[in-house]
Amino acid sequence: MQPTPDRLLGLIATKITTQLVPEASDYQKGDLMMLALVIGAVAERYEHDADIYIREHRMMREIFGQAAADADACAAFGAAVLADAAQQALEDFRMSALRQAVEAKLRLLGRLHEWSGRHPGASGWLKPKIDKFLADHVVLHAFESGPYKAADITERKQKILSAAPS
Amino acid sequence: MDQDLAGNLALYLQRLQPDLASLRVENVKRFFGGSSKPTYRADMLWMAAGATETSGIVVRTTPDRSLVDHHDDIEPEAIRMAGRHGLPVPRLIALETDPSHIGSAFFIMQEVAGCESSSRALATPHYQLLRDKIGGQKWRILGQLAAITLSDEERSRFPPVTIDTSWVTELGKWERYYHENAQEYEPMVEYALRWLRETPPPVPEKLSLVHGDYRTGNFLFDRDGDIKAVLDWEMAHIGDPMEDIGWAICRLWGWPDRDRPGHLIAKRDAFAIWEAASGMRIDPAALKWWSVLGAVKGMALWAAMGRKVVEENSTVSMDYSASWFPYDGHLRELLDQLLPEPA
Repeated sequence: MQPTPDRLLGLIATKITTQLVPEASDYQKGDLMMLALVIGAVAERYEHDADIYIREHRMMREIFGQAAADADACAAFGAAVLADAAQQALEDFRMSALRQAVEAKLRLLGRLHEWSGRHPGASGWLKPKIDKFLADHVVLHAFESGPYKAADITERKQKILSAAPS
Repeated sequence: MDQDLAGNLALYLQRLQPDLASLRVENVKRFFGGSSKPTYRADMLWMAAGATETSGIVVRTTPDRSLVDHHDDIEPEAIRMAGRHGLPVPRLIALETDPSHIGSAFFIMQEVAGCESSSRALATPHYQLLRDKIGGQKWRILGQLAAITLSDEERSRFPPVTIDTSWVTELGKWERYYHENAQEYEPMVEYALRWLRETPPPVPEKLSLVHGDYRTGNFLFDRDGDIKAVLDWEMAHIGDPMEDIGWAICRLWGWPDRDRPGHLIAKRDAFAIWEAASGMRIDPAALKWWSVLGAVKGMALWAAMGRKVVEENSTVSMDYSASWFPYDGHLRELLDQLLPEPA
């Protein structure tokens, strides 16, 4: 049986803390403990990042779809730009490509957010919608391992994922 | 490296203090942390009346590209200044901007021995009993720092700022630093930057010497719970005293407790002590603005560490860790400040 990468990373982190740290000098102890924490977080990212990127991409496409049907948003950004952003699906599922595709959408969403904040009269529904997406985005990418883990983040993350389009 | 450093430091210190006989430096050890300025602890030994005398020293070096944009002498200058005004700081032994001695600029302080600084120490039963005492001093010292009236000569040691635009200076500095170092687009930070620009803080009552990184971890306390020295003045500048408060109350330094910053006293008690010591009032609008700025500043610092990992193939675990965990923590701080979860 081959161990999965996340399992292997977890074991490497354990080996560092239980075998290498006790033998290390004071400076190296701190360095190795930190390394073990990071390896644990890499395992977490390995397991969850693709799922999060794909869901976020869909969540943003939904927002762009609604914006493409809004006259004020279309006048400001161009109907074609918003419609394209709504329709463009993911084709490459390598992590680097997922990351890039999500970042491109985030940039457009950021511009839409800025515009909606400056023109509260137009497309009044948009800013709260993007506010919510931004909050979800921060929560979804928050680490559940490492020094700043918190039960409320894990709970919020599960709530968002269960409501997000899969 | 440590042996070279010991020899070079001994030569340097002997030239500086020719009256100390047979000066040598031993037991050089690098501290873990302080990643932007590699910091070492060592013993300085010399002969006096036939016996060997020893004194612990701490050497802060300045690498070519430090995390923060600073002059070599800002930190020691701020330490000197704070000390002159009666605040607890380490005694400065030397400041050297010529890199030829040990390969970089550096300054040397006398070690403040027998002290702790970490949150881990504060969590032990011994220090749990002393946290009110330590917390009271922490906030009183910060209030005293804000109350100092600097002379024109002292102010001239720092980049000039004006009372009504000090926020513009700080925002500009951290916005630039964030964008120079961020590896990816983060819409929450862009939102925070817009909010900061569009919602200026109230004009401060006065400009003060701002520490720039005042938090648990950056001051030393002894077994009796007395704060003996405030450290890490590398981001010191003249500015709005609310900046240090906004930074010090960040949840990261006392994770996960938001109401007890830095694992010490409750926020309301801390504020009362600061107001009594400074003679100033904490304006909630100013506090919020500086808290948001503090989170952006944190993200800029962690992004710079991430850039070091990506562009310089850093092998320092602290760089890996900082570019992930506190980056994420400060991002969550922005979320809590600007888009709090509805109750």
